[in-house]
Amino acid sequence: MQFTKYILFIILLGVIFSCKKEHEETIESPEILQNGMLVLNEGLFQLNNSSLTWVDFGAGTSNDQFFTQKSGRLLGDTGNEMLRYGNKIYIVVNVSSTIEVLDAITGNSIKQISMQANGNAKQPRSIRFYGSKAFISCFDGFVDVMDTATFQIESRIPVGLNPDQMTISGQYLFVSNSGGLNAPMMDSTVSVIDLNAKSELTKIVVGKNPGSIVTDHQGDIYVISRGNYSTIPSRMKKIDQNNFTVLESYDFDASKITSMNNRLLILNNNKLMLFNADTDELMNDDFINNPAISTLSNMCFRSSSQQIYLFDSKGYTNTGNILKYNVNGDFLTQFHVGLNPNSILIYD
Amino acid sequence: MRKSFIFICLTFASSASFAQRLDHQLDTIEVINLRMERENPQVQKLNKAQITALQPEDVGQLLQRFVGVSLKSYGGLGGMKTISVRGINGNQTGIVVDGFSLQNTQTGQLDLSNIQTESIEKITLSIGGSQGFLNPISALIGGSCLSIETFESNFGMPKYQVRSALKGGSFGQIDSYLALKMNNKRSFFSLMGKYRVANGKYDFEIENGNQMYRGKRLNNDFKEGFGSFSSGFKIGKKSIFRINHQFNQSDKGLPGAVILYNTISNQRLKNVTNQFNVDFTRFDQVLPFRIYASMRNEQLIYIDSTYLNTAGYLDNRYYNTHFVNGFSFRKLPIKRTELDSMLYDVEIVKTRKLKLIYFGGIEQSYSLLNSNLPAILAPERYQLKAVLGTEKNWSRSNFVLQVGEQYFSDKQSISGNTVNRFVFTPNVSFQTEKWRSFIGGLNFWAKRSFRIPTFNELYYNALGNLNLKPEIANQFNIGNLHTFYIHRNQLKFRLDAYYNLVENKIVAIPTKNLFVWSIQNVGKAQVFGVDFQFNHSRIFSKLKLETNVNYSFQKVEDLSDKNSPTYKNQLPYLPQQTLNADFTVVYKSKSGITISGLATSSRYALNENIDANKINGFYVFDASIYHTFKLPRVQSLRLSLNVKNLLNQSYAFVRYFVMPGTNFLISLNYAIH
Repeated sequence: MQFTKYILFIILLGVIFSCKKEHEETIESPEILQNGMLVLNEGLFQLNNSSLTWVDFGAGTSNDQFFTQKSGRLLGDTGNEMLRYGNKIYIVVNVSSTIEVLDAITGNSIKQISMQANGNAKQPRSIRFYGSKAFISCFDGFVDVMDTATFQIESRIPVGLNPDQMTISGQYLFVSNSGGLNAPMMDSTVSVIDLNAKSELTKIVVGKNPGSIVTDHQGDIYVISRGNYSTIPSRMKKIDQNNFTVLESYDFDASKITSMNNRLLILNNNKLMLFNADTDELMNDDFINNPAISTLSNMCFRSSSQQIYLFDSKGYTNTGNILKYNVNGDFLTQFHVGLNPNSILIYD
Repeated sequence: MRKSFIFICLTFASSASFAQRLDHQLDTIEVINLRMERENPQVQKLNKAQITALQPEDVGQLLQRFVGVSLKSYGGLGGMKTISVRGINGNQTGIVVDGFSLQNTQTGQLDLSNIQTESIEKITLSIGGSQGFLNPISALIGGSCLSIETFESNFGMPKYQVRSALKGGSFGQIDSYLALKMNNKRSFFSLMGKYRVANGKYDFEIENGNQMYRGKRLNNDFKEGFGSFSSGFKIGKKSIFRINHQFNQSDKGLPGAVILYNTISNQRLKNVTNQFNVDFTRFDQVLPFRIYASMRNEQLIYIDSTYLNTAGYLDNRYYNTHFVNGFSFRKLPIKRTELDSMLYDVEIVKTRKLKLIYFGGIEQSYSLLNSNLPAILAPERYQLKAVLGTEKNWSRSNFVLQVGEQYFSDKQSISGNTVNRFVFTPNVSFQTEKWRSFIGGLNFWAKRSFRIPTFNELYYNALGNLNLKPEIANQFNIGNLHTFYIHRNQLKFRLDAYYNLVENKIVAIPTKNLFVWSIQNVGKAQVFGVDFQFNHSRIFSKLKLETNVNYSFQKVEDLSDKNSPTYKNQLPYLPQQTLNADFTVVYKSKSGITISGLATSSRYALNENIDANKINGFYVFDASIYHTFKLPRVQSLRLSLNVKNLLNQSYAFVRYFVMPGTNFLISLNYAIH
């Protein structure tokens, strides 16, 4: 009798604590990409959770299963950059050490290129295009030259330590050699590669730990040497496109730059600054400062529509937002995307 | 392999000379003890027989059998394993072996895969902290305590005892173990050695979108050796002196997470640990006490042979040294004749009748971390911990009140930084054997415990934060324990409901950019949980049946920031539900078969509870079968076969740290009792 009572008591408690299950809805990916935005979400290291989000402007939905739905598999670990060149989309996946090539019209997978050399991962970081060639910076100290028709790596150009970001000005490719993996003894140079000769011309000393690098409307190069994150501050430097010399170092903190018409957008401490690239003066150190953005991690300017996109990474561990602004810095709208968004492609 | 073979041959050859006569009286003594003992509702334990049946690879695997424990296993064989008890950071769980605590001030976490299981006589987990007399003060202060008793470090009954094992299994596993112990009435002397290797190459398959990604786990090999020397002496009629040295050396490949499309992995971890312990225990009528001291030295070498820096490799070395000494006492009514059998039995001291008991003690320690990395500025730490408590026993109930204190003072000789903190922790418990007739025994307890920031959290590079406060955990528990005897069945139920509140939770958050993170006390979490245990046993004339079922429900909610998308989300790597069960049949106390299962509900790899972060739940079954062969005199030979992951499930505790499929282990154990 006592036993029965006790069992009933236990069962009653069991009922109280039983719980329910929830599931997220699946959205289908469109056949043809239009009126939307493709977002590369970097994910986090060792979680294989890099993904592509398709944001449908019409329906107002975000679908982070895009890559899997199109290719049947996952993108891999730490997608660092996504760019469109011609009718193809190239995605650089750093830790998986692959380049994914997609059809830019449909988003279908065309080719996965494994980036390995002598049994080691090359860890590709970023990609730029010139003529029929793609130039891929690889963390193992090279810029790989890949033919965009055959997807064959044709040569490897040795550069500095852990080459990171790249920009093209004229017939030259400027590569920031971060040396990030050699901390605290980081690299401090930018390699200049002749895109026709496919070889390094020279190295420019710009300051410790070069990262973000862009070309302005006149062809001059701006690079950020990120310092050592403590005693040496993060500074923007200007490089002369003809003499390959550092023209100027600016006296404000900066972590990323992008070019906007004859301006530069500079990311500094969770806000956006506006810089005049004609007069080389800081115009507004508080151009966009939105308290709703918790981790402003990157930005992008789309010249055809004259719009600015800001990436909020929400502490790098939560799924992020992309916020759209006009060139005057007025907020327009925002989209919810995946974990650590870092590149977008807009489709009209 | 060849070495191991010689090892075991030697054991056999020497067995004849160890012939001796004492009948083992251990069983009878255990029965007597059980009767004297009032079961402690905060304590769960596994004894030698249960451990043998489970054939665990390491302590981590054993802990899966305890309710309230969430294991984080970074792969199978040799992979790192850590635990969290009731949703609270694993650093709040003290680990004690034979009365000496194992501590690491660099990361705070001990890798449970580095504790071998062959020697374990008994393993107990006390949730809400230990109250045992022979445990160090640090174990009394902690949020919970994992206590291990080994064969080597305690007095035994007969003159000579030998234990040996030879094992071989899947993935190139070879394991050899030998322990010798000599006892007389006044002293014991023991030696233990163990060597273990495996290539760890197992096939795996994981979901990759709509496809399966198949591969072989590479760089997953390990070799490790363990050694210990222990000795103890009775001094006079009331005192015991013990001295002991434990050694562990390992060299493991670190396969890392399975990275899609990139199988290259070149990291290794080498470890050399030495721990020297000495203690003196006096069972006095006036004031029983124990004085203990330990020195632990841990050397860790992390090597990445293809790292993309100028040198082309990483070789990071860490040296963590820890000295501790302490004094603990427990004023309790105890008869001297009972001393021998209750030595180092943690629970027994709780059970004595009626009178008021006082307990307490003080412990100080000094730790130092050195490294070849410029980022680690040789931090040193001095700690002082003290506990004072009282326990009142009535015929059917007991009441314990304890206060604890911890002070630490850090200094970095290179930077000149200093950090001092003081924390005070009260804790109270009340138990009664029977409350209402059908409900059975009830107990309540509340405990406030904390973990002090680790060296890494305080000082590591730009990351550390000198202003960190200790992380506090408040635990409240209401529990019920009920045993029924129906015909020849014994049915035991244990049910606990608890609420934990973790404040000043230490979390890493980014500041300026992805490269600059800061460690801050901004976290807050609450845990609602229920633990349920059921045990059934029935003894027939030749058969013994035993069933254990553990179920645990825990809702571990992130309360850090109301505006965060993760507010009230379940914290990562803590499943809401865990179920484990085992069923054992023993025939004539000679042969047995055990089937055990573990099921875990889905978990999240990151704070945000979305599908993209979800790790699927899993269930996995193991089975083991053994037979003990009759040998003359007091020898025994046991052959056992253990099959893990019977259904060849693909599962992982930690995302992309995939566990092995079906695997086997054959063991031959020879012992002289």
